[in-house]
Amino acid sequence: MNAKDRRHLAIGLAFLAPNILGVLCFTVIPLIFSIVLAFSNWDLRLHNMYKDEPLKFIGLDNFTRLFQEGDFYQFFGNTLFFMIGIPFAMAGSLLAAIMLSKDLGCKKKRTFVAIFASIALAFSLALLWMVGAGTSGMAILLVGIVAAVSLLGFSGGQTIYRTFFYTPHFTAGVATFILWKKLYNPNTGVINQSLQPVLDTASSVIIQTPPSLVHALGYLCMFAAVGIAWRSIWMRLKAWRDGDDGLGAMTILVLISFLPIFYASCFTEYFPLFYSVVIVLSFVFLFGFVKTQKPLDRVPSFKGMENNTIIQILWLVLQFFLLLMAPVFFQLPAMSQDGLNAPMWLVDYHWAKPAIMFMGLWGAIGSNNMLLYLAALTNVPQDLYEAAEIDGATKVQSFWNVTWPQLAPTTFFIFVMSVIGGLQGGMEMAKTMTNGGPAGSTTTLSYFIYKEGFETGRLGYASAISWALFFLVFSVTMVNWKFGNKKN
Amino acid sequence: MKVMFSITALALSVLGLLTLWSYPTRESKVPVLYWITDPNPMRTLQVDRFHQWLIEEGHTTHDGQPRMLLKLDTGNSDKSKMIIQGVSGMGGDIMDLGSGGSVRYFKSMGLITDLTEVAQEKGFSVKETYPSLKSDLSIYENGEHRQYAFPCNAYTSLYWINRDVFKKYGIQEPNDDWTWEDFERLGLELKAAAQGETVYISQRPNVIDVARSYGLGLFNETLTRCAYNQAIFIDALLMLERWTDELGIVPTKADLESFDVQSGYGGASLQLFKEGVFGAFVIGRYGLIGFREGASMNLRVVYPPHGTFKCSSMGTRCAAIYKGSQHPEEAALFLEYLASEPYNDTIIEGADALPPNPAFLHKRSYTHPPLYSNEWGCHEVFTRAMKDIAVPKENSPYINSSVVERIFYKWVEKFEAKITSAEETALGIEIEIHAEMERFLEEFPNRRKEYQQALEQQKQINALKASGEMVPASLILNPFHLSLARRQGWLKEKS
Amino acid sequence: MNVNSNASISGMLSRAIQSSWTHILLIFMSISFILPFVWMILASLKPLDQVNAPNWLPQPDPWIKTSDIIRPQSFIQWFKDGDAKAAQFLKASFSDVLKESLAQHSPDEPLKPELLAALVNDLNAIMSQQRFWEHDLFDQASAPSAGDVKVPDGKDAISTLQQGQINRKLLSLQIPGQLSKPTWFQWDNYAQVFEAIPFARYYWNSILIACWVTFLQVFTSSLAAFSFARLQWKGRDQVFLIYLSTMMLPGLVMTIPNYQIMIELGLVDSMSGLVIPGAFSAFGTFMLRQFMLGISPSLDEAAEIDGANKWQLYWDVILPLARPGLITLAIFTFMGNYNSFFWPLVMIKSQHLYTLPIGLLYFDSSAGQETNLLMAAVTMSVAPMILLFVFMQKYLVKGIQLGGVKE
Repeated sequence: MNAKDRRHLAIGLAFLAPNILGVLCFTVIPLIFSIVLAFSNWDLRLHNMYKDEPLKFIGLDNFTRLFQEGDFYQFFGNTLFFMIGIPFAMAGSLLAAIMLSKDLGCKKKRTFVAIFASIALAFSLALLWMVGAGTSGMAILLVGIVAAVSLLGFSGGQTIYRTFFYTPHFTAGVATFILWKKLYNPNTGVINQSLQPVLDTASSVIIQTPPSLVHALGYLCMFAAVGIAWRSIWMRLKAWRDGDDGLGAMTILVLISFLPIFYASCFTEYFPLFYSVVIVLSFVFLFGFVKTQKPLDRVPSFKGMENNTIIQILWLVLQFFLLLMAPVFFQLPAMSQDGLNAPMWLVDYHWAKPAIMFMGLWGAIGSNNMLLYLAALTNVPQDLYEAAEIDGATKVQSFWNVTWPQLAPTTFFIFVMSVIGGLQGGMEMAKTMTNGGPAGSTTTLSYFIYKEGFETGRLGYASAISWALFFLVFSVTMVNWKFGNKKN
Repeated sequence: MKVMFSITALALSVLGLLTLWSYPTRESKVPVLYWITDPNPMRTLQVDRFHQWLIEEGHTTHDGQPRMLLKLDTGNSDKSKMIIQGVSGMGGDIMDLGSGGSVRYFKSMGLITDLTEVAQEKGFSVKETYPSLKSDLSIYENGEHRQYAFPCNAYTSLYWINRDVFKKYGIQEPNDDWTWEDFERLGLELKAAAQGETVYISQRPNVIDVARSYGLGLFNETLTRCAYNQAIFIDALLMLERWTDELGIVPTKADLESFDVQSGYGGASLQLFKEGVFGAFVIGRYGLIGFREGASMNLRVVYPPHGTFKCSSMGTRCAAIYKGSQHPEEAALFLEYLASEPYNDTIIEGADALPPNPAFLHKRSYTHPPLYSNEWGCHEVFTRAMKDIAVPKENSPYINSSVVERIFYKWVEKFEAKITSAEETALGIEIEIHAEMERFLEEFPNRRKEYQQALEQQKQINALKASGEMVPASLILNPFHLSLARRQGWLKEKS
Repeated sequence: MNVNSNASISGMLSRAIQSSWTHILLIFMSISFILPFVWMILASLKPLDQVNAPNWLPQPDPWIKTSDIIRPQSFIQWFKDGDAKAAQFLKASFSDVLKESLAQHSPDEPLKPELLAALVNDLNAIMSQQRFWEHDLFDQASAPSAGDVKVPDGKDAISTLQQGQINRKLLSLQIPGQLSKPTWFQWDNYAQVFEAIPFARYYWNSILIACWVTFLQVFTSSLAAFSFARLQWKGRDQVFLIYLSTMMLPGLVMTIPNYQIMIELGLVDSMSGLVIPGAFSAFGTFMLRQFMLGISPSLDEAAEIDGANKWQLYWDVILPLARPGLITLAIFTFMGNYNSFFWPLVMIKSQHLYTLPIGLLYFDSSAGQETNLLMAAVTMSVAPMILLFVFMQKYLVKGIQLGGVKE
């Protein structure tokens, strides 16, 4: 290293110093502390200011215990379940960002609508006053809100909509949890109050329709799920044949596409034969296709993973949903005989998890992710769109061929950050909303760490869980890094 | 940007300094002690009376002011917060702990002071309070009981009967001697008479209480093994399931959640009780705080329904002195105050459960509160129950109580969600508790000897019971089994 | 001409339809996002017992609650047979009409609404009189202690606190009834938040701490980002990677070690203890680095030719250009810190140092939930963030330049 290099290093580090000192002090040192302690029997009951037993190092005991503990896998599963919302939240954020980046409406129309909406608003307010806010008050309130939002939206445009979209983010934290607990109340919560009438109507409709028709819907779901799987496999195969995707990427993504059907064939009592046949047929077809189309590469490349993984996950979740709906349709006629009841949400073992997930989804769509996408959209060079238009591309085509690849780094960043956040999240939620229950169905890994560390006092063990979590996050990120962010 | 940065830095510094300057001054000539407790409105009064008491008792500085200042700290009463601050030397001087293992847990961390001697001297030893609370306040080690806390109050949960509800539906009220069969029958009668209106016999009874009333505790006599993998517990689970799901005489958790009332003191279900949704309601004397608010009710207190063994659960909120306190002597004064008449009066007036010192249960102000003349004779029932049927919580020295709670509720919730059968639940609880006990003994190897001894003791007890002989009281460590044995007549008290 | 205008009309129409669709979708989404928010604001204007009512709007509240049928009936019972002084007094004070209809009323049948209204009306009138409170109505046993009940000057002057006292007095008189202020929208809730807790102090603490954290974080991050983005030094990219990987660590496990460090530094239970650990962030560094990479590299060379040193380059050239990035980071940091819950919960002991999220727990405690006050407090606490967002919005989007992460 010559003198010039050293000088550069010194200057570089000097600029870094304030930040790096802080990071060292408040992140790295505690970190080293905790990694050392993950291999020890550090326990609040043994080691604290008033009790000074010698610290024992117990090797990997904490980790072996952790991996033997059945609860760990349940809590890990819960954490993963909550993360199902991530691709949807991202799709929602992107959709919101695209709409918000559009030029909204012309002036003339704006005034017209503004006048219309303000009349509606004034009218509903006046009504509200006169009626004295009885039961019909709710309807008027809703009209008022719609009118107010339209009024503001048409006149204020983007700024207003963005603020509306961002509102979940303002109330972040404990207030949101208390709010949602009220919304999810089985009887008086807003959600069930609006859901119950719908379900009542639905059940009466279902009773009147012949059961075979309802069952047909179930079959429809099944076929739709299979269709989606085949479609995405076909897309991947085509991309591979055209040389857009590498063999490795194709194989992984194709295998992933089978996952829901495979899963359904393992667990469902409805037509395991059907699913097995579908899987076998697909493999035969696949084999034939791969054999005939193109010689196999010697070294499988992972080209094309970056753009497709997230879309693939989205389709995957849709498949899961459809496969879940199929048995529901089969049971529906019997169920609606005694009327359909809205779920009990947070107090029900099976519904608590989806309830928490929906809440997360609601908060995540209009969050910082939306802003990141907005920023990325404004940075897409206009001439790319113009070129696409000259080539005669439709809106949809220009989205997939221009916008989506340009957004790839942002998508990658949001995805990684969401995964990191998702794996680490849920502590405050569990503490204020559900206490991790019923029967541990909403306990996430971070709440598990909190309970082991602060309620039971086993800090060494809690550190071990955190480090297991860290390696999970780390490997997910690395996989993403490896396959996700290659510049083509 | 440069200008903005500089101005911001300057402005923030000035504002920060201003804020620092606006802090309340903490200087005080006398020691200031903090009492970490729950935000009950009565606490302020209790602190004021404490300062008065200090003056009356002559604990003053030379100018006649109290020799110490007690301040309330209600913001730090969250348990995990108390632990984090406690282990780092930042705890409050006096900490309120719950019963059922908190004292043991805090003691195991070395966070609270051994009070045995000072309590003897100042008159707040365990003898001054209810005898059954001994196991909650003191810890048995090296062959003797060491005291670590003194109660702020004591409670036992009994059934409050809403007589108006029973009258309205023309059903006979239960009395002290009702059984679970009566409970079920009355529940069905109420439900039939209500004709579609929502009326429950009471809230969901706790499965622990049901099992106890059939003579089954969570642990065995020496607190060494979990005893729940037995027909009694399984039956108790099934009984509860029948009451909730099949007969609908007690609400499920979801039912409770769905009546949505704004919860005040005592929680949402207490409001429901006041509205006549429940025929009976299980709560301690502190239920009065809620019953005194709002419209007057027509109530009566009876013992809980029973199976083969009449008992009610009992507990305490007790105060312990923090090891890191700078002023342990002054803190001990506060515990002395807890045993004194002025403090006990505040508990009596505020109906914050029962006074720590049972001597004051016989005061006229307890039995006939001047402000609330008509309180249905409930006060005497509590006195009686405390003497006759109240049994404290069991906590084993070989497992953390919070772990027991977590395991227990996890499995019971699984059972309620119909994921496990009653048998699996009982087995699951037992297996996990035993595994945790084993883990505890690995973590604290020096406790193993004591544990082995206790196991031997258990064998002895089993042998004695099998041969139908009396069991000496000194062998039984579990307070529940102690009172069970005493009442069932197989206990040999000290000869 | 004709054809032309037709084309333009149909073009306008199709464009209008298109943008209407966007608007409709946007409006629909906006509503689904703001509905909980609307609920929150409306709940903050309700009396406590209406918070969970299915109707979102506050309902007008009568003085004497009539929800329980037992109550007015037992009142009449009391009134008829009662020989208590209070009953005598009321008998004397009621209007003749009311007295008559009460006497005729049979206790078994439910109370007619007109009668109830008359009763409530008379009771209100009586209770607003000074004489009622001064009158010696109490038996020796039920006499409230001195100072327990303050005499309200008139109907309007009754505060909530006094309401409680009056209710207690009614109770001691064994009058079955409950007094509450006749209100519709309870704006009073907002005032009560300030009465119940030192809300202004918490507000100020939260804002000051968030400002300090924001300022320090933006400053240190911009320095570090400058080093990573605009300077060449050996091992730079490796160090940057390590920086990034610290973002992946679960923060919980660091709580206890960090707490110990805070004790060593003597920062527990102080504002600095909340500010200093928040002042350094890998995320901020990352964001600003990406932004600074987007600034043309030729500027560095130009500055160097002008003879500027690196500090001048940072201070005079890059920082002004990085303005949108700095503001964006500032907003993100402010919002993140303003809502932070767990660290202040653990760190702060003294009440005068509480931040809003901690202070608000008071309304959701074991001694009773006061959701209406909680919602009022939350509404007030989010107000500055909304303002910040609305005014700083135009920078927000400009300030984000993620680019390729791996560049």
